[in-house]
Amino acid sequence: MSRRKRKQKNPISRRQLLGYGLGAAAAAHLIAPLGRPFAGARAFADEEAAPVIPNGGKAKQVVYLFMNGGASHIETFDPKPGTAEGGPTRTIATATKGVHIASSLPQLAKRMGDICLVRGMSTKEGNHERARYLMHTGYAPNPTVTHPSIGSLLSHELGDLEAALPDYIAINGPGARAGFLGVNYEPFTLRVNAPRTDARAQGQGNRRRFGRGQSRAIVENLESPRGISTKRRDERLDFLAKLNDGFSKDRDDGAKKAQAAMFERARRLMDTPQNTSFDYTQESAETKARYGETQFGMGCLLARRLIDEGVSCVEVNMGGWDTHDDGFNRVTALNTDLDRGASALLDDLKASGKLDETLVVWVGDFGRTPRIAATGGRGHYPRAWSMWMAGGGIQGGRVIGKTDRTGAAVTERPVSQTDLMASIAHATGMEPEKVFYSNGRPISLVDESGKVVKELFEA
Amino acid sequence: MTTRTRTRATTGLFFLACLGGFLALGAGTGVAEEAPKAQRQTPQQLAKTLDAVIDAKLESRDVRAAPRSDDAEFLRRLYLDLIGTVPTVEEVEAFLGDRSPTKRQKKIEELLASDAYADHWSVVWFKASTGLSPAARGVRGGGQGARYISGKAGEMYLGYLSEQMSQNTPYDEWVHDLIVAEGRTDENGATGFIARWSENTNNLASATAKTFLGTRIQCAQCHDHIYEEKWKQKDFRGMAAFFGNLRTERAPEYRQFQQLRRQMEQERQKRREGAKAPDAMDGDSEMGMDGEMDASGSSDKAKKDKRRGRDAYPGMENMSPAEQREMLQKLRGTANVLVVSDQATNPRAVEFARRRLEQRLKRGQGGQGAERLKERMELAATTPKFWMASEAADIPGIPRRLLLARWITSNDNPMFARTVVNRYWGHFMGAGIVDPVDDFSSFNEPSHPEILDALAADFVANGYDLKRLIRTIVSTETYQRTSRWTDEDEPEVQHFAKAPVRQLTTEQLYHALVRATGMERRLDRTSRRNSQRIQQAIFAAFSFVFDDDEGVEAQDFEGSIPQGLFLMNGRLMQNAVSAGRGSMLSTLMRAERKPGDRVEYLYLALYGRKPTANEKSAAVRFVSAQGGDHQAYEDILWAMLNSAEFMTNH
Repeated sequence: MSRRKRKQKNPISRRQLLGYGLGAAAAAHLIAPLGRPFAGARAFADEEAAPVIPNGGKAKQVVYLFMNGGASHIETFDPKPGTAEGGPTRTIATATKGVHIASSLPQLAKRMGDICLVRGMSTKEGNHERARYLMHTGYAPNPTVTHPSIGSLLSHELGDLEAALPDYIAINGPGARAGFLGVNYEPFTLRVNAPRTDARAQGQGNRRRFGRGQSRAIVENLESPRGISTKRRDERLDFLAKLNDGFSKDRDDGAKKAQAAMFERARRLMDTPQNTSFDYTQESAETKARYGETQFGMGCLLARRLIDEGVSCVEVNMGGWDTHDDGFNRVTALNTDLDRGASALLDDLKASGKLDETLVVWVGDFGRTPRIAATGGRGHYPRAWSMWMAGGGIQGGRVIGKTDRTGAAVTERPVSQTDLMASIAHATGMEPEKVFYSNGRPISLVDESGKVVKELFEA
Repeated sequence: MTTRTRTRATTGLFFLACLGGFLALGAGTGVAEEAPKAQRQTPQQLAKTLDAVIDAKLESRDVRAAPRSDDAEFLRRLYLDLIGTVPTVEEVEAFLGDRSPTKRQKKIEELLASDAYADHWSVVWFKASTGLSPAARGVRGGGQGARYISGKAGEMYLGYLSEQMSQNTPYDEWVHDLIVAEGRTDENGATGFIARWSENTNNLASATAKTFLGTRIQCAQCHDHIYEEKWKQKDFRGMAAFFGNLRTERAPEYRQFQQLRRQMEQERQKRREGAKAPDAMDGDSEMGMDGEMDASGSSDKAKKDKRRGRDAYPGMENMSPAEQREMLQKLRGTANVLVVSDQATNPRAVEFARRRLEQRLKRGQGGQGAERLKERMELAATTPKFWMASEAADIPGIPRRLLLARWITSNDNPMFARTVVNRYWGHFMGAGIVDPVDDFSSFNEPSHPEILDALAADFVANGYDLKRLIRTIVSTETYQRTSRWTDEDEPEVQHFAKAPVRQLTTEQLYHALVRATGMERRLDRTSRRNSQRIQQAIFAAFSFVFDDDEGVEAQDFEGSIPQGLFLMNGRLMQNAVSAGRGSMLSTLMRAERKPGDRVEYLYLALYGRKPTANEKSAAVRFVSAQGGDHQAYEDILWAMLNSAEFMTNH
């Protein structure tokens, strides 16, 4: 498999400059021509005082594991045994001394040495749509600006439009879109149609389930229709180009150019041998079994194949976490899928040496209420919850933050969504202060309230 | 329908007092002074005045305007702008053959009077006011609150708008209606605007200001505005407070829906596990609109329900599973229906909300419900204040929404008319006089302030007549210029020296596609319901890949990879270009024998014009190189459908 050449858009970050010992003034002088008028004073004032946080820019690629519906922190990574709120969830010890997680996550427990757990997530959006937007963009929804999701930002900052594969691929997603970054940075959606072992746990039958054999295409419309050979397709495109030349001779040629670019990218994707990487079914039975032949497991497997191909950001969406009823059974079932898929992904990335350059993020809408509802589930709870990161410069074997006895409030080291986004930006070498303009309004890559969670990176 | 409680006479003086600060934004001369003069002129006379303004400015810039469009170019553009589709071959031929010097005016009148006009403009207004494409409803999320404008509610809103367009209801009247509308979203279409934004009062205030006053006040939602020194956060709160006693609740059926769903799930579980069913019917914690819904513990919830007369729905326990499913399906249709009303704001209500909030927090129930209560409490306690006005506006005893509606639609509010005439100018000319059209601010100067003044004055003086406004704009030479440009430097769009080239919207593309490929006729032939179903399926397929996000009309041309794949390989496109039985191509190939004639027909159908001699011979060469058979015509049709000339409005 060929690796793609990556375009390095920001060869030297400001932090690196400072790290090299250049004075702020000199650095400012160097940065200014890069065109970030707003990046100026504020950031510098902060950074002159703050010590440089290590391990920035190590991650070249990102896997975003997104738990749709909001995973219960109490049934996963922040269990509360021995309390009424904790429910029947049992815990197990992990590779990290003194850290216990839900016993239905035995594989991930063994891999805690690579994982940095954040138990002090605290956000403010308790509505699925708003929270999903928040946890993909770092911004609350706003009726006039559509912020880009983290994948679109990564594809814009780290990616390469000339590459054969799209740079932001959302498996069974996306959670958010490119917003003002525009169509070139939209997530490209792949569908994984493996059965869901947690199908029973999905309950209520309100989600579509795919059985074995009734699969839909992984990518829609990737194949030429019957009867359209590559030659005939290209002849059509050639004549189309002639028509467009005629039309644009004495007219605005924006349409022509955009269209040519669109068809070129689509054609490239159809023709590249790299597109075979979409077909995760080629993997051996043993590998599939390791990931778990579930929608999430196969999503993780596909993500690994795409990371191998150099895709900047792969998002894997896992549904079913909105467990208002029958929470313990449902989350336990979901944990089984999560445990196998995420563990196998971490293992394979580690074995190929890619983990050092790949940031894996596990996050969702929000946590769940400590109080157990009469239906045996939990409501939405953004005030205190958990997420984790691994690889790409993250210090594994560590827990940051703490919640109180029942998981109701963060008692130590709260982390907001903007802190999380700032940390992802740090890990991937993106400039959090970089300013974009949406309809003339300046919007920074990460909201200015975001501070890098340095404990994720410092040895 | 809502009751129109409005009496314009009472508004005058009171509102004048409040308009002080706002006038500055409107710029230019007062609307009222020009009114008498404006009344006397015809749209065509006004169009000449506007042309003179544009031309004078072009001259001062030393730019020579593009010449007048030819008839074919004009006709296609007028169809797309006015009724959202392309002309048929017959319509093109008739128009080109018409020798009358007034044929353009006649065509304008014909289209303004058509049903398609109302259909098209209801979609335009749906998008402008909701930020969503009606085609996207139910297709994908669309963000917060979008579900309240899905299904029946969306249909009703679209129907309401269509009715206003078709009746040419004065603009101020129906906007007033939208702001004060009450009732169920599946019964009163006018509630659609409020319902769509009601989930968050701040968004509702922002959307109202943006849609009807062309002002993006939401920057002041979180902080004082960075540039506009006068835009303060407290002013934003004052605007939001007009919705402080707005109440939007789920329709009563929603509760029944929830209960039935829960009951079915519990019974399923019981069957599965043979365990005893949970004893309480609680745990409704879907985060609805209503903070009270998911509030309390199980036992006192039941008590409370009883007190409010919300009985459990008796018959439901004894239904068979099949009956339950049927009932659920029925109720699902109303699951997102809202009931819009106003609730008196009185100190007791504020106190009540405060106590509930305290209780919730004490019980450890922070989260969304508490936030909402807090928000409601704060807003109820905030005195409403018109944007940029110096005085507070609350009049005890008068619903706040009514005050707001009167102020917004007042003759004395300079922004109201300016915003809509600017929006319409932008619709036809590719850019507003102020552009983006909803971004009036002191940092976004109008390119031709005189045009805004003149159009707004005429609009107000003639009773907020939208058709007259359109008639005026499309009668200008500025609108009727060609999109061709042969000079070296492309002029800026806002110079209005030539017609713009714009990407078709999702809706225009759909209608143009089914018309140009003859699919429209096939759809007409099948039963009405069937045809609607097919249309919706096509719509869904289209909007999934083409939908412009958040209803923002794409300014630049763009195309995504899925779009490219869809156009090259998608089934809809295959069907559209197919030369199979009953298709446009097979009919054409039977009717016309000569390749040149076939090519000419395709040009008329897709481009609305005849090919030049060169184009014709190039196309004939291509067809014969491809074998000259059905497949060859599929190839040329594919290329023409995907070409910039078809995919743009120019």
